[in-house]
Amino acid sequence: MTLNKSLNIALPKGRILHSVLPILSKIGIEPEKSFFDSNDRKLKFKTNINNIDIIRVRSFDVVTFLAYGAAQMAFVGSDILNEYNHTEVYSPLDLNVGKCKMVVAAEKDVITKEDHRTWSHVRVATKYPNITRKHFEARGVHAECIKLNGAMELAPSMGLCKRIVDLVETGSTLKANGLVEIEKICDVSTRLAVNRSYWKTNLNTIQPLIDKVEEVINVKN
Amino acid sequence: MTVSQNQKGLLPAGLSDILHPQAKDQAKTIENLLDVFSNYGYFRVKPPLVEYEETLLSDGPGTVLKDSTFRIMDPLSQKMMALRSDVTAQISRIASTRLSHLTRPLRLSYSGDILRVNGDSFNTERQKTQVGAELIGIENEFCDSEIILVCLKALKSINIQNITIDINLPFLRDFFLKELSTSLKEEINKAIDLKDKKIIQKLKFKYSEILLNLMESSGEYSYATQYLKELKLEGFLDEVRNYYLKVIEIVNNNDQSIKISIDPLENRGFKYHSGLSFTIFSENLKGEIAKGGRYKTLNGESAIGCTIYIEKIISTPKLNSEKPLVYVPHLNINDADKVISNGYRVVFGNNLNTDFEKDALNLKCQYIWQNDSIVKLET
Repeated sequence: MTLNKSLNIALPKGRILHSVLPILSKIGIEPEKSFFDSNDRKLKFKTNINNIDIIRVRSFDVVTFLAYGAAQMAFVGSDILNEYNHTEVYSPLDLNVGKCKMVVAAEKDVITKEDHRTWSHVRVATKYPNITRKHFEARGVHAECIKLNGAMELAPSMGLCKRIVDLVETGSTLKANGLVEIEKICDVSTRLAVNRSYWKTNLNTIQPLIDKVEEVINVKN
Repeated sequence: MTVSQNQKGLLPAGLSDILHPQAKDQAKTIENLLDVFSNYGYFRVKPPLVEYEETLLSDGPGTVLKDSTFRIMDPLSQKMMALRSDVTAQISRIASTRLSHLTRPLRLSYSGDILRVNGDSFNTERQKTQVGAELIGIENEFCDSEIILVCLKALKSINIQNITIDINLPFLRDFFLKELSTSLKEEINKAIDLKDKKIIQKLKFKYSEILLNLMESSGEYSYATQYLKELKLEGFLDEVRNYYLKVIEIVNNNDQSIKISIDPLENRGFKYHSGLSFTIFSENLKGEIAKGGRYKTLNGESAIGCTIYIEKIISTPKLNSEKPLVYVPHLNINDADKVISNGYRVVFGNNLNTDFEKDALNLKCQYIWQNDSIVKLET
């Protein structure tokens, strides 16, 4: 594969990375060796293809790098895309990997003791204040969000709030912390995302690349 | 509480002092753009900064600007006034009132500062300068193409390169989705925004197949025009398609140096637009640099206009090379005139300072006026 325009692909650290690398490999993109060296402090890596570089950033920063054009293409969770809902980002493909769901969870007695019809205000600990607010606003409830960056499951037992909104894969973390799922907000999976200006100004570069990824995921399914 | 000297310089979010040389570059850019509009017969108008809220926001394009507009109270009339957040709404008012008697099509151009409650996705600036042109009173493919072509000419006049124009029909979404439930509408709109065809394939509704075809048609000029030509459409949709293709054809025939992107269902950033619309990008600049489209004026006339976003463009490399600066040691307008008439700029020395050459260098001069002639300074 050759590319006539330079392209930075943003990949999130952690969970998603392992499911995305095989897809990249199948479309013929292999990161340089140092990418796999956990001691290497580099954040930008070359690939086997001349014009394609990879940047590795925190999952919550992927959309920001993408929207501002620092990366032109990214693999990112639909949770992050929905949270930022950025007008400068297109996300044409669901890769059907990295699947989990976003839920509201609470301690068990919250469900038994409270009547949700009477709520006007709830306090929620979450990494996703925008999604949370929107979810509760739809039923006329104002959600006051406590923005945490991790260890969400601690919040209810420590008295920060009664509810959390977070991602759940198996439910074991919830269970270990005495929480139960109250409702599902949405399913989450990894998506391919593209910067809008780049898409519009480089149609002949971007479309073939998207088509290749689509072929790979169609075969997989 | 005492205010420190530094804090006295603090401005509210999204507002800034534009200094030299950006202020000069901005003014020149605006004049260049307006000169192009003037060359194509657009008359310049200048509406006021503030209007009565009910005039500015009640009808026409103004109705969608409510959320982005600052309000102030007029102590004289005791009425609420609105600080303009878009100039097009005012042009629409002028065309519908004071200039309603003029023959159509009416061509107007403008430049002016606007104030918004929030910045946009790239720029936190809340005060922006808009430069634009409006073509009012006639709706046909030639008017739509004219605005696009004149807008492209204007951008080229200020050295914007690698231009792509994305041409859209944002009103189509309402046409396809008007009879559907709110939740289904939301789902479909989101899928179109993401450009995810698979979601649409899973949903069942009246126009799902046509919608999918139109999503499929989006792409670069030759692919998309061919796809659209071959698409089976009837009635209204057939007319819309033919009109769309005609405009694209005229634009392409007149200016083959720009790339055309075709994306019928795109509606990002179009608020009051009721017909063919467009967005202009440049590979060298971030985000949209100009936008335009068809809308209805205050009294229901059909109009099309374009707006160029100056704050996106001002960061491009120097538009005009500056004339060299000559140091004239003493205030003397006649000497200065001689220098200026030779194609230089002048700056007068401080009479208290006798080391002229040092003073000249401090003032960033390249030349000095000595014995009735312009002498190059040694640096």
